Order: sequence, then C-alpha cells, then structure tokens
Amino acid sequence: MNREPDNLSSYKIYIDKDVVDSSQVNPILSRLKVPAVVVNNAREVYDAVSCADDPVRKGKKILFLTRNKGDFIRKCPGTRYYTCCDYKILHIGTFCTMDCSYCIMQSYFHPPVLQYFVNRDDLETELNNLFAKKSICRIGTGEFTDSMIWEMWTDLSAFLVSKFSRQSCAVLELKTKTTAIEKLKSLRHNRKTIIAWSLNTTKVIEDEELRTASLAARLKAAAKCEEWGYPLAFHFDPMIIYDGCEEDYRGVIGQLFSHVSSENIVWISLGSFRFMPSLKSIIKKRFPDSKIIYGEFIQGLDGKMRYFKPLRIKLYQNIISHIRSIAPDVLIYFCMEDDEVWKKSLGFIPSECGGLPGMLDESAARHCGLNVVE
Amino acid sequence: MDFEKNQVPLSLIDSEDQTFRITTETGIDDILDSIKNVGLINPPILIKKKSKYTIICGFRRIAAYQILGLLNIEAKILGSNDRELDCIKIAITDNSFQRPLNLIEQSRSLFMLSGFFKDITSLADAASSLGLPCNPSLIKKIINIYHLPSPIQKGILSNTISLAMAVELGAFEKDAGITFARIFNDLKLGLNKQRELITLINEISLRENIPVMKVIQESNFQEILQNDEFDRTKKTEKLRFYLKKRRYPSIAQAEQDFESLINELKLKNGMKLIPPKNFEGNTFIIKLYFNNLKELQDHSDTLKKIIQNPIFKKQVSGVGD
Repeated sequence: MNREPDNLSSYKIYIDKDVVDSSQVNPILSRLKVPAVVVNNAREVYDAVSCADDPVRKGKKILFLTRNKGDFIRKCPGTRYYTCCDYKILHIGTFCTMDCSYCIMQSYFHPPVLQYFVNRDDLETELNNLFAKKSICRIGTGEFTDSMIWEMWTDLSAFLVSKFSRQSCAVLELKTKTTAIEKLKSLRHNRKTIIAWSLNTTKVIEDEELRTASLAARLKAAAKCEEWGYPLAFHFDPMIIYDGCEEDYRGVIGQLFSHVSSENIVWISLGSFRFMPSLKSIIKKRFPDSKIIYGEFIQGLDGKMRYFKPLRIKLYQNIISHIRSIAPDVLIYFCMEDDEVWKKSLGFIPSECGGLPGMLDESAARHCGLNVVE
Repeated sequence: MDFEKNQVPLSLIDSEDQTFRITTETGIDDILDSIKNVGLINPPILIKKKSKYTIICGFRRIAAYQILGLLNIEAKILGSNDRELDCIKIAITDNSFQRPLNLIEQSRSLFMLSGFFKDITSLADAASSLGLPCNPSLIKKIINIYHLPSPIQKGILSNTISLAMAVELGAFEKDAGITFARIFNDLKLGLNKQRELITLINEISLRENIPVMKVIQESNFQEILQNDEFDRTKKTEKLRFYLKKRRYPSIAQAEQDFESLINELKLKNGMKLIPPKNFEGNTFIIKLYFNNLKELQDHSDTLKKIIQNPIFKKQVSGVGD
C-alpha cells in the first residue's frame, strides 16, 4: 500500500484569472514550485480532469485556485430520516490528495478536483458574522476535503485556529487522516479548535485508505496535539463489517485510550459504511481488489446503501460497550442513524437528552470553554 | 473493380475457406427451391488464389449447387490483384444491403474491416458506408462479440442473450461465460433475471475470493439446476432464493423469520402484515379488507390475538417500547 507522501512535482496548478492578484496565490505558488496556468473559467480545468482515463486520480493532482462563489459557511446536508447533529461546514476547498476507496467525493463532484478558495476576506467576513451571533456553533472543514492536507501549501490552519481563539461561542473541528500537525504546535488556540482523526482498523486503513497515515501515526499525532493543549475528537466512520472486525475495532479503541486521555476527548462518533448507489461502480473500477461493496447492504430511507440494520446495531453495541468499559464518560454519538439504533446501541434516544445538537454543544462548551454570554 | 463472368467447375472452389463468410445461416433449403424453380439469378463472386477459387459471396448458392450434383456454376471472378479490403467490402455489401445483419454477422463484418483501419473513427466511417452500425462505442461492443465462445454467440442468435449481456459475459473467464450462457438458455431467463443471477454469483465470488465457477459448481446450486422434478420456473425461483441467501445471509434469514411469523399468526383472508421496507424503518403496515361488519369484527379479534403474540411483540418492539 502506498503511504509515501505526494511528490509535489507531479501537481499542476490552475489559477482562475479572477484571483490572480489575490494575496493568497503567490505564497502557494512559491511553496509548490510547479507549473501554473491561468484559466478563464473552471470549465478549462474540468475538461483537463474529465479527459483522463481516471478523472478521480487526475483530479487529485490538479490544484485549482479560485474563489468560493457561494457560502463559506453551510449547513451539513443531513436528511430527515436519520438523526443529524446540526453541524456546520466551513467550505474552504474541495477534494483530497489521499485516496480512500469508499470516499463519497469520488462521485460527489463532477468532476472531482482539488479546489482551494483564496477569497480569504469573504471567509473572514462570514466568520465574523457567525461569531457575532453569539450562539454556540460547531463547525468543521473536514466534510468536502481533509482539513489538514492544505497545510503544506497554505497558512489556512494558522489563520483559522488563531481566528477561533479570539472568540468563545464557536468551536472549529479540524478532521484528518494525516499527521500534518507540526504547524499547530506554536499556535495560540485557546482550546477553540478540536483536532479530530478518522480512525479505522489497520486492515481497513491498509486495504481501503491509500496514502493516509497509519493508525499508529494518527494516534501519535493525536497525543502530540493533546500535549499542546488541544481538545480532541475521533470519528469511527465508516466502520466496515468484515470477519473479525469487532475484535479489530476493540483493538483500535484500546490503542486510542493508551495514547490520549478520555477527559480530553470532546466526542467520538460512530458511523457505518454507507454510499450512494452510484459509488459502487466507481469503487469496482478504481479499487477492483476492494471487498467493501460486497457486504449485506440494503437501500436506506435516504436512498443510500447501508448495512442491514441488525448488523449495524450488533457492531455498534459491541464497540460502544468496549468504549464505555474504558471511558464511561466520553460522549459517543452516531452520524446519521435513527432512534431505534440509538436506543438499541446506546440505550437512549437523543431527544431524551435534549437532542443531539444540544448534547454536542454541551460537550463542546465543557471541553472548549465556550461561553455565549459576553 | 472488374469482374469476369465464367463457368467455374465446383471442384475448383475451396468451400472450406470461410475467410469472407458473413452469413450465420447454414440451411440451404430455400435456395435449393429457388435454383430448382428459376435457376441462379445472382452469380457468386470468387477470387482465384493459386489453383483454387476462394468464395467472397455465395457460400449457400455454391452449397446448393453441390447438393444438386451440378458440376459447374456461373460466377463473377475478381482479378487476383484486387485488394483483400475490397473483397471484404463486397462480402459485407452483398449481405447487408439485402437484409438486416444479425449481431454475429455485424461482429464478423466489423472484425474483418478493423484490421484495415488505424482508429475507431475511420472504421466507423467505413462501416457506415457498408450499412453497418457507425456509433464508435457500439462498434467497440459489437466487435468484441466476434471473440466470444460459440455458446454465447448461439445465445445471441437465438435472442436469449442481448448485446449488453454478451459484453458482460465476455468479461468472465471463458468457462464461466459459457456456463452462464447455457444456464440462461436452459432456463430461458429474461435480461433482468440474467443480471440478477450474474450479479449474485459474481459478488459471492469476489467477496470470498473464489472463482465464479466454484460458486456455480457448488452442490446446492447444481442440485437445483439438475433436478428433473423442477420445471424452468421452479428452478429459477429456487436458484434465486439460494443465491440470495448465500449473498445476503442475514437479510434472507430476517425475511424467512418474518415469513414464519406470518404463518404463526395465522392471519385470516383479507388481512396483510407488511414489514418496513428492508427492515430499515420502523413502520409496519396492516391491511384489512372487509365487506361487512362481521368480517371487520373478525379482523378485530385476530388483531387482538396478534398484539398478544410474544414473537410479534418482539418483532415490532421499537424505540417507544
């Protein structure tokens, strides 16, 4: 499995003509030192990606510097059928340099391409407006991209971490599968940034998560961030069902708590593998050795394929009991599951505890010192 | 292109050389009757190669003459300097402008042409002028049929196997493709059921890292397939059930358990209990059909019994219980 860092010389940069003079562009160019082409519109970039034999792979090697023409702050696209956590997305860019077989972004963007939005002033304005609302908010950059892949090219985390440190109603979550944390060390964060890792078993990481950091490396990085005072979070998502998976996930949990202290974990989320039906053919083509699409899936109420409910519940019950045996007070929640799964796996439903958004807000407030009364 | 019309001895015609054969039709009864009644209307076209003549078109006419015991046939003879591509074009045109070519004939034609064109666009142009399909992606699919094993080609000719399915079968190992073609033919499966069978077997094979043939050769599968007491419909139903159970054991078990519950509840006529779709949601549906108060009262009594049934209680126990 390829775990080598990307060779930067294999990238190509396209610059939207409208942002050529942006103060963000030159520093990126000077760090990357690869060919750059100014384009009149995004179509030229999309055409360069679409004509490749494997547009997904090609899209990972093309960096398009452009402006975010829509909102930087967006609501996470939940559905009414499953319990959503009312999270907000900070839309700083799209796509990812790593290559996970199950990644929804392979079919989500048409075509997929690494885009980084350089209109920093607009980003800052939207954040100022958010902070001015003085209501608790959880927001993250890791929905349409990995939060930390931009570290080698940009000063994004330095900007965001210090921006969030100067207010006390919102918490930023940086979610990653990398170990690109070194720049975080010297930042004044005031515990308003949660550093989060997607975790999985070593088998899943090796078989399905190409070019990501190993489990041991992720946990070592998490321990460093804890040492630097950052609150942490972990996401077991997507959990994959295979022979021996329960034992493997219990092993991951054991390793997790041997690296970081449970008191510093703001939340742990669990979610099993789910995918739009259109992703199946992409996985088949791009990852012919992957077996993850051959599980027992049904079409869920939201149209996505999900593991048969009793199988999900069984896995969750097993993992949750293990987490609770080690860290009984850590907040565990599900990403996109219904009340039956909550009740049978966790023993309660969110509405009995003030609703999922309220539970997470409370944990964020407690761990990160949020205070909306100023 | 110049022809020379001549009487050619049948003994000098190499009927074994099928280089330019387009037609898949081997029967000659219709031509025999035609020749007997009105004689040869359209002479075959031949080309001289060394001491013998190779047939470019007119395979069935020449076969009919041989059956009739005639010694010579009037033929158009191409000059031996004529290029092979010209011969192929004549062979295709002679068939394609008389009748629609079937998929195998189209495949043969396109394959014969393909050697002379360096890219799909120029091949498509040539195909178009010869009455063949000219869509490049369709050409790519059709041309591959030429290499498929004979049982699959026969399935195409008998309309058991569609072009799309033939392409899918071509992606399997040869023995698996042939076996699928035979199963489809024996069970007379429609395209949807063919797809279902292939998908289930293929996914079992991929999940378990075993060859497709091993899944097909498993005794449970073969026992159903070879059971003479089952007709085609029954075999199909049983094979689908077996494969579904093999591919989705937990889901199949849940469906079976629910079926047992329905039997246990002894629902009356006019009452239906429907589980949540895929057992994913929590909403069960009971449908009642009645014509009078008495029937509705009966349903009410049955409902009371159902609600008390411990297995039913367990099945519907959800969040609020």
